[in-house]
Formats: sequence, structure tokens, C-alpha cells
Amino acid sequence: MAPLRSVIRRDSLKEIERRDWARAAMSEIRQVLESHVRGWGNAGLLDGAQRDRILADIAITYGPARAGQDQTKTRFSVGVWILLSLGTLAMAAALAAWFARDWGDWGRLTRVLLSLGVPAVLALAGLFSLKPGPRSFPALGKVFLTLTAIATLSATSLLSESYDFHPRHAAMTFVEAALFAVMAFLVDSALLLWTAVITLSVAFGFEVYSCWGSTWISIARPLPFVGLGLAILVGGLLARGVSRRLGEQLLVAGTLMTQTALYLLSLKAFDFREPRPTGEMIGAWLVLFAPFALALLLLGAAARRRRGEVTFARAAAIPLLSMLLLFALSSLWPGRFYERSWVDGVLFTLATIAGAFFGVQAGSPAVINVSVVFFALDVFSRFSEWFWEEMPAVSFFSLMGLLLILGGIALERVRRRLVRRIGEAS
Amino acid sequence: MKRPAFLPFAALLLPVLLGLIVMMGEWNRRLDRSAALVALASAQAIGGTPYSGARLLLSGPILQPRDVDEKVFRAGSDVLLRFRKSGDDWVFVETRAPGEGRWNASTLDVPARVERARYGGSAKAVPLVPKEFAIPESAVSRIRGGARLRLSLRRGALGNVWVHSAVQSADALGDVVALLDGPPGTPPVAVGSAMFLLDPREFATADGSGWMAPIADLKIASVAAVPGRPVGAVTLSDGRILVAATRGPSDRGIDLTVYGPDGKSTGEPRHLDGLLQALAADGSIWMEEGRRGSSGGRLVRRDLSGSRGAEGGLDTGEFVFGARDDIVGRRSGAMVARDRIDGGRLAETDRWPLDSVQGACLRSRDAIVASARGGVFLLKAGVRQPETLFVPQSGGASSVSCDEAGDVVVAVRLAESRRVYEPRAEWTEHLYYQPAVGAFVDLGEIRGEGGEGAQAILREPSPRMLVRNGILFYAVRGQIAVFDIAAKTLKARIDERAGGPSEKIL
Repeated sequence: MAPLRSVIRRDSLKEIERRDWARAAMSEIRQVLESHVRGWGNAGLLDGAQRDRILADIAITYGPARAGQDQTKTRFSVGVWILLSLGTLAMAAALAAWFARDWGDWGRLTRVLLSLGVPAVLALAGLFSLKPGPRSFPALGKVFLTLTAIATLSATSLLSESYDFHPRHAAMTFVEAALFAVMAFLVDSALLLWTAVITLSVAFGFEVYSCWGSTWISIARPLPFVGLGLAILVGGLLARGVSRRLGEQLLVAGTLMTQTALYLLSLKAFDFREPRPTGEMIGAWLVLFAPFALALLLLGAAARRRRGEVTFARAAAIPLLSMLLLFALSSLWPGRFYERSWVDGVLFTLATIAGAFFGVQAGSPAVINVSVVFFALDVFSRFSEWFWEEMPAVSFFSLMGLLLILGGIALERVRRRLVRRIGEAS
Repeated sequence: MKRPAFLPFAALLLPVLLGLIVMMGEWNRRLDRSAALVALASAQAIGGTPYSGARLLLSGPILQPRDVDEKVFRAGSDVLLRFRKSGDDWVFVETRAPGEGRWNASTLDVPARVERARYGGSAKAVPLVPKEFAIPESAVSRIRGGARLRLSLRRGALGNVWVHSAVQSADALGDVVALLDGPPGTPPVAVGSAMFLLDPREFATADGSGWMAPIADLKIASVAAVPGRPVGAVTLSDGRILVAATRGPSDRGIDLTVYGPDGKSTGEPRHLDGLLQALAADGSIWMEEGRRGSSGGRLVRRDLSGSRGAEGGLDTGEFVFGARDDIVGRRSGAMVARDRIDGGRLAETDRWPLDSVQGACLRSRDAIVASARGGVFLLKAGVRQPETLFVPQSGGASSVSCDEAGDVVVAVRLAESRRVYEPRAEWTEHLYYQPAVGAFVDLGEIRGEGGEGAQAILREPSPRMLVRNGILFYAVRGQIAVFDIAAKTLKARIDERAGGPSEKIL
């Protein structure tokens, strides 16, 4: 098998090297590989089972092919990509500050014209930059579309305030988040995708406030955000079939949201004497369980698409499904709504371990890294919580320093081993 | 790269969604058939920053959150707050379940949503009425401290209560920064949102010897608008009045305007950069110029023409509390000092370390009255040991005010409460008065709501008290309290509008 593997890799690379590597799309790479593997199968170099296993591995690694797809994606160097992203963020901040700063000086007509005109002009500029032709500049198109999103968000908030709206639900913001996500996948823009995730979180936060009567940011109610993070995580798994790069971003976003919410719940200093939803508070129960239900639904859809794929089943069913059910059921734990309990700390620790395991199975180093960081945070927090009042300061800080140094080294070894396992598994 | 077909639709749908907001907003207003109802509100203007524009914050009975029983109205639910008309304003009656609601001249049902504060506590019904508005930066200086606005509210075709207009009364007293006496026979002047004369014709005495008898329905008359926000005023030795005003809350400079005794301006304002520290009757203006660094600040005396005179320094935490002729009083939280001009520079002549200094004033060139932990003290030039003048029986911080004649008023703050959602604090102060010669007189308590906090008052560079014919006028937090000293009673409070043209803010 080993010589055959090297033949496959060499021939594949030879084929790819003949093209312009910088402009080859993932699907074109996959098409080339698949055509070669089928050719070797037909030539008798591979038997049927081997051919099927290699084709299945290519499908997992490079995503399903789309017939007739003709995409060439330009990939900048990392440095240029960072500069473009930072520049976009700076322009977005300038746009938001301009709206906020000068809004009061504008009359009503000017406010309306600029609120509608600026996003429209930016959208048109983005579409023009993305139009195929000699003047096509996809990177600039993504910048303009991201700025369109920021301008839209600023205008939504300021127009609502100008017209004295007090909405019951954030329907408009949900729609905007969905549009941002769709646009992000259509143009392959990670910044736009993160804008969509943040917008979704803000809209969801508003729903939590509206249904549960909490303060707007809802930091006092992180429990619903555990579910939302899991839903985004599963969404990322599904999205990897469309765009692996953006799917990975969603995995990271979902992991961050879930782990951060669980971390907040586990903090001793965190006081969240929130009211337990009563039977009549249908909205509160909805925001609590709907994200878990959505995550299960998406998981079912993902499992159906990848029926028979053992790797995916191990990634999703064992850690993810168990996390989903565990956290959903734990929302019924009576004490959780009145005081912090041992359940919160245990769940957080379990989540970090499950997250790392999930990252290995799903082949995502980023998820592994995030989970390892939160695991370290968990250990640090528990240590501080248990020993701060029990030890003299000198002993406490010495022990903590040792734990951080030695623990950090050990964790890094574990992390590298986990990431290496991804390579071995593939 | 081929552009996805769905992309133009998705991208151009965004401004369409914004257009929906505009459409619904205009629909809510244009198709609104409800009556416009007037409600009073207090206003506070906040200047813009590099990242946000100027804002107008409103507070008042209609806008105030109300406690609700969470067993009856759960958090997150919508309710109605019922108000009944009482005089010029509305009085809260009860919280009701959502429904059609009334909106007429006598009964008003304001939609509200029940919220629970972040860390527990009781549930409150927060009115769904706009409280914050983006306003032009130029409007900030036009809105006086403690301004009262008349709001015109409408219910909205879609049920969104909106503010049709907000009008500022031109003659609301505002926070009085100075009470200035004048020659006998001329009315005293109060400098607040505008310049007001305490019109003696309203309370002339029967024998014509003075005035203020009887004191009933005290009236004030606005005689001159003061551009910007007054921060200090003084009566000059020739009878004219010097007023210092800033252009906005973040402005580091003052505009000086001189008015005649009749309140008419005698020339164009002169601008000086820096922070005003003190005004003196000889026309001296003490300014802190430049930014205060770790080594302290620069104190400069200028005259009315802007020419520089004497100079001195201010250490961290210090500021000037008064100036008279060649004497300047400085204080920090831990000391009071007396400086004298010597050869163009300020030289310290006396220093008295005191614990937790809260206020001080120049009683005379050689005597300072200061309030600190332990009581109110008299600090005499050349005497190191402070003399205890007065020890309050109860209360917290105290402020002291002196006038040119050497009278002293001590105000002891007894209570100040501010509810979580309510920016206007309710306060109670107890006043004590001591004439230039004589013992302290207990004048009793005064209560109020809103106005500048006690700490802001303690740093004002102008007199807030004056005594005429046994009547004490004392300016505190948006009102002028009038006491009959002999009877030790509060006779009247002036805090109302005197009528006149108003100014539309929204």
C-alpha cells in the first residue's frame, strides 16, 4: 500500500502542479483526485474496496463535489490577508462611528437617505467588484459587502431609535444575520461570516431579554447561549460540505460560545439569581430549548447526508449528542436557577474534554486548541476557588505557578498529540 | 471568478429591509390619529465624543420605571401604566394588564415591559416611551442644566408611543450659580439658566424702607439671556455684573460677559481658555490654564481685558475656592491654604491641614470658613489652630457659603436617594446661618429633587447666598430658598418658570 500511496500522491501533485496552484479550487482538486483514483481502479491498480475507501476519504477531506462548478479562488499570502482584514475592520469602525457621531446633526430626510443609500452604494460596489471580467477584484468585493453589513446594522439600530420603536422580537436582526451568512458563503468571506455570527448572537440575546425579562445583554443568563453555541457548532459541521474553510470558522465560533457560556456558569463569583421560567413563560422555555432542538435537527440532517461514515458518527454522536442531551436535561435542574451548584463545574469540565475529542474526530485543530485553552482555564479557576482561602498567599502563588508551568507543558503535549491524530486519521 | 446568481438579491435586500423600518416608522406617525398629550420631563444634555453624538436624556413621572408584583406580572410581560392628569403633570395610578388602553386628556395608559434588574431585586415595569434622543451638538449648549421640557406625546398608529415635540421653557430657573446683591434699592440678581431679577416691586414694604414684606408668591423676572452655560458670576465694584459661561459640558474655556445693573449686556463676550477657578469683585478672573500634569497646574489671574496679572501653582487635587483683592483661598481634600499676591506671584501665607475638607469660603481677607470632618471651622490668618465654629448633630457632607459682609450659611446634607432607573436624586439638607457677628441660627430643612449634586456645588466660584433686611436667599440645586432669619422659617421657594417665549428642542 505504501508505494501505491506515494504513487497516488505523486501523480496527484504532478497533475496539480501543471495548473496554477494559487487559483485552483478545492472542488477542482477533488475532481482531479477522484478522476485519477477511478482511473487506477479501472486499470486494476486498486481493488473495489480500496478505491471506495480512498474516494470516501477524499470526500471527507475536500467536501462533496458540485457539478458544473467553476470557481477559482484567489488566495493571498497570510500577511496580505491580515492587512486586508484589519483594514476592513478599521473601515467598519469608522463607518459605525460616523453614523453614531453625526446622526444627531442630520435632519429626518438626511437620516433616511443615508441609511438606505450608504448600504445600497456599498452593496453595489461589492457586486461590481465581484463581477467577472478584467476589473474583477474579489477581495475588494468582500470588503465592500462586509461594510454593507456594518452599515446595515448601524442604520437598523439608529432608525429604530429615531422612530421610537420598542420591538417585541428581533425578527429584522435575525433576517439580517441570515442574509450576512448566505452572502458570506457565496463570496467565501470569513469576516462577513463572523459578522453574521455576532449579529445572530445579538438577536438571540434580545430574544432572551424579551422573553425572560433580563437586562439586554443577557450576560446574567448564559444558559440559552450554551444551546446556541451547540447549534452553531453543528451548523459548522454541515457547512463544511459547502465550504470547509468557513465551516471551520463556524466550528470555532460555536465552540467559543458554548465554552464561554459554560465557563460563566461555573464561576463562583458569578451571581445569577434568575427567575426559573414558570409554566406560563412559554417564551423563556422556548429560548432555552429551541437552540438545543435546532442543534439536534441539524445533527440529524448532517448524519443523514453522511450516512454510513463512521468517522462522522463517532465525532457527532458520542461527544456532541451527549453534550446536547446532558445540557438540555440539566436546564431542568431546579437548583441551577437559584444558585451555582457542582453541576455547573462538572458540565464545564466535561464540555472541554468532549470538545477536544470532538475536534479530533471532526478533524479540526482549531476546536482542539479552543477546548484545551478552556480546559486550562477550568483548572485554573477551580484551583483558585478551592485553595485561595485555604492556603497562605506564598504557598498559593507558588503552587499555582508550578501548576501553570508544568500543566501548560503537559497540556501542550496532549494538544500536539491530539492534532497529530487528525493527520493520522486522515 | 463567477459571481453567484443569488448574491445581488441577498445584498440588495438589505437596504430594502431598512426601507421597511422607515415605512413602518412613517406609518406609525402619519396615520396616528391619537391626541397629543403634554407631559413634563427633566432634560439632561450630554455632549458628543469622538465615537458618539450628543444625546438628550429625559426623566419624569411618565418615564420612570415602577415596581410591580412579579406574582401578578411576570418578568418579560407587557403591561400598561395608568396615569391621571393632575395640574400640569401626570400622576401614576396603577399597573394594568395589557389591553386597549386609554389615551385622553385625563387618563393615560403608557405601554411598559416588566424587567428584572441584573442581579436579582424586584421586577420593574419600564415604560416603552423614548427617553434618549440624538441631538445636534449645537443644541447641547442651548439646553440648560436642570432644564424642564414640555413633551408632546402621541400613541402612534402601530402602538409605539412617540415624542411629537419637546419644548424648553425659556425662563426655567435652572441651577443657580450665583446670587448677587446690589446697591440698596436695586433688586438682587440670580444667575441660572438666564439672568433673573428678584423683582422688588412684588414685595415692597409698606413704609418703603426696604422690601420683602410680605413674602408670598415670590416672583422672578428674566431680564437677560445668558449664552451658553453659566458657571459663575460676581458683582463688580462699580455695580456691573460679570458672568462667566462655558459653551458646552466639554468646553475648556469661558466666555465673559459684562451686564449693567439693569441686566443689559454692555459689550461682546470675551473668551478665555482654561478652567475658571474664581471671580473677584475687582474684576479679577482666576483661571487654571493648560492641562494639569503630574507636577500640578498653572493658576493665572487675568483682568477684564484679558491681560495677565499674578501667577501661582495648583498641586494635584487642589483648586481655588475664593479670591478677594490680593488674597486667594485654595483647598484640597486634606488642607486649606491662604495665598497672597507678592510681586506678581502667589505666596502661601497660611496652611491648615484638615481631614476630609468638603467646602470652604472666604469670610474676609483674613478669615476662612471651612467644613471638614468634625465640623465647621474658622481659620484665621496667622493662627495655626482652627477654631471650631459649629458641629452638626447629624448628616453627611456639608457645604459652606459666605458673603461680602461675613455672613455664613452651612448646609448639611441629610439624605440623598437615587432610584436605580431614575437620574434625579431626592435630597434633604439642613441649613444653619451665622451672621458676621453672632451665633448660629438653625433654619431647618429643605427638600428637593434633581439639580446638581452636592459635590458640584462645593466647587462653585460664586456666592450662593445673600441677606437683605433679615431675609436670607440661598440658592441650592435648582431652586432659591427664602428664609426669614428671625422667625427661623422657610418662607418661600423659587423654582418655577416666569413665562415668556419657549424654545423647541425636538
